[in-house]
Amino acid sequence: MQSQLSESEQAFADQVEQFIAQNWLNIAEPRRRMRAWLSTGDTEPLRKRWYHSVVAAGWSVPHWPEEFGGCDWSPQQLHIWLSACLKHQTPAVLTFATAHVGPLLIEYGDTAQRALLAQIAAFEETWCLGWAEQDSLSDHLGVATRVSRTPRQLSIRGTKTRVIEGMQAHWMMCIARAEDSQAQEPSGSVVLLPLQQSQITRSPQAALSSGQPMAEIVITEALAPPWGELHIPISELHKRLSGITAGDLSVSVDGAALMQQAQGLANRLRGEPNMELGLLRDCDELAIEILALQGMEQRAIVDSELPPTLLRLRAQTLWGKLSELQIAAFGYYALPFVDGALADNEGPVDNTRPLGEMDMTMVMRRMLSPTIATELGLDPRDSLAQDALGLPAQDH
Amino acid sequence: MDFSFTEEQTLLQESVSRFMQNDYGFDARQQNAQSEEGFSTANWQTFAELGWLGVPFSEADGGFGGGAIETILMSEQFGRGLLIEPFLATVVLAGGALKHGGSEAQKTQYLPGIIDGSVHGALAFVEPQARFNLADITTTAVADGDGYVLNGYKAVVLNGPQANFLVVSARTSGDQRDEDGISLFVMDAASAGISRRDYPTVDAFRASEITFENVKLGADSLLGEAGKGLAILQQAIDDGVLAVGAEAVGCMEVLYKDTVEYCKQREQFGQPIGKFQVLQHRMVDMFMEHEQSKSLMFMAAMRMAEGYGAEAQKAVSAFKVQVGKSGKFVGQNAVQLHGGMGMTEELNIGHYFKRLTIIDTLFGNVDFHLQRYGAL
Repeated sequence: MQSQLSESEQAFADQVEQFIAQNWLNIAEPRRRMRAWLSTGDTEPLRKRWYHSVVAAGWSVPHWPEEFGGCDWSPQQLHIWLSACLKHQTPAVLTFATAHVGPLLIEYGDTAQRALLAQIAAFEETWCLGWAEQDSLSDHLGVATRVSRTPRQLSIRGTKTRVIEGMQAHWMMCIARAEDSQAQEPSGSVVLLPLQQSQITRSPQAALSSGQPMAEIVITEALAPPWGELHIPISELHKRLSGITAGDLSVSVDGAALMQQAQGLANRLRGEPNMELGLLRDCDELAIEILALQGMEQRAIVDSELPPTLLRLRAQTLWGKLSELQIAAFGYYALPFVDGALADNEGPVDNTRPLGEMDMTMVMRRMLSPTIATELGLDPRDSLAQDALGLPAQDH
Repeated sequence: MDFSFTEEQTLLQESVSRFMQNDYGFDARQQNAQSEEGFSTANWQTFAELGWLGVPFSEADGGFGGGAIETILMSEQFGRGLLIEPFLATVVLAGGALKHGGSEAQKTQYLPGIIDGSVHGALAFVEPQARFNLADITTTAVADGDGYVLNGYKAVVLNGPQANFLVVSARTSGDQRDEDGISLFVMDAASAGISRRDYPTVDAFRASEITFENVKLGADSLLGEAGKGLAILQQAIDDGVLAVGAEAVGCMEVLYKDTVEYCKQREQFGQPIGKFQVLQHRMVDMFMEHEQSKSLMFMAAMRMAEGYGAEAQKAVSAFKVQVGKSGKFVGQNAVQLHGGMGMTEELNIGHYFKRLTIIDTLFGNVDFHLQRYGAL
């Protein structure tokens, strides 16, 4: 056993740090970079520049098979790369498209569908998930969106709500049911729907995390290509999207980012003469819990019996704790909610707090951002209880 | 990071695990706890024959050259079986002090006996006023000719009743809480001037209050350099933290797994109680606490194995904080979910909980180690 990275892993980690420094940290000052998380118009060139660099390096979809643009990386290398991106707050490399759509197309898609992979890997086309509908439950049985087939095309109608990234996405992975299916009939279709067509209108729905708004998307007889149905059982899709499968990479890379934020907070608080001792103690306690998460992340790389859901659940909890501590650390300045974007436009309200040192925006986003699993109405503890502990399924 | 074990480490872990599963039943353990010695001397001899008592000591000293990794591998299995034999007191603490600071002559005198199971030791370092501060010492050792005269009082000396020899911390200079001026002495437990009051502990171990009254010690009793004993003591205690922490991880694993099994079988309202969401979530949280502790156990052991210093101390304290919190959570919930059964003597659940509660206090509780972690 050894606690350090091997020589080759350390060399790779150094290479990653150098790459991020060159292509992200050094291309704009912190406050502009922070705002790039929000993907507002004036930060778009910054985001594009980053994505261009990543694609040029061949690191956009390292977790895909090599024949589709992936890298022949070890799980440790993958962890190093994704952790570093999150820690340095680069525009996300693990998007819904790269993390979920791509692997599903590779596994279940036909030739025509797999032709979409190149645009995903190049970050040229973004995707969203069209699952939730007003008044429908988290399963697909209540989905009212309908698909009808002709030999030349698929026609979709319905309304999707709370669609994450829905305002910008080029494509939707849309859950629909056949035109003639009956309510509660357990069939459903996964349709690959291009969103840039006149039969689709989108309205923003503000998200609590102050990031990109979600969208309500009205689909009025919109058309999908005849090859646009992905043949995957809905139950399997549900499982894949809920972060409870071993392949869900986004669950296991939070440790380094959390530790950086927590240490930054603790260091700043230690220098303040009027800080409550309890708060410093809470910072230390949080740091220990983050250490445990980092240990779990490392173990998960080599131990397939450590469920990814456990890590996601823990990370989510720790982002919440960090957020609580940051709010407490603000003192009276917790009252005006100042995130990166507002501070950049109008100047910081709290002049004692340099921007970029305590990134409330990132923490709040990580904690509050609606995740796919939340969207599907899944409590990670349910799947852990049944899959990891072997407890019986609950009655609903 | 590399979490793999060597072949020898894997064999050791399997050996201990097999014994604890097949030959260390809970009922026999309870009977042994009531015996005069407070444990099974037959088991102790078996441990010696299996080579376990020599694992942490160097090959030159007759041991197997193991270290922190071997300590956690063994102790985790000990925790699963709720071991009451004094491995911690004799091998890890008293043996550890000799290993870290003993002269060749002292090692030659005591280690072979520890390794072959014929000698028991105890580390006497606690004083009533000191709480967890190892440097708060009123026991004195005053130079007298070539040797010293020891006077003072040590509290809750684990394995005191069985110990053939004692390692005692005493002040040879400085004020009560000075870090300098502390020396360690090793002595025959039956030396003139030593008196004991023995008692059982909550978790079925045995301990003693020991009074030292004009105990005459030769110069060869001094363990390490005069006045510099704190560093040796601290290292032995950190070895102890790692060992009891790993033990707690083993205890937690049994508790959450047994609770899951119980909830699968116990029926209420015509269905297993394990079907209820609120109980499922609680068991998931128990599982989570165990896994967090286990991760920090590996990290602390790796740091200790890579060299003892501030980083290792910090990792050990982080581990102890987590174990203290997790142990309480897992133990309390295991008892709760077992209902009234969880509070009975006949079921092992409450005994694990008692051990976890004591482990939180041993060598510094959550508050102490959180403070230490922040200060390092």
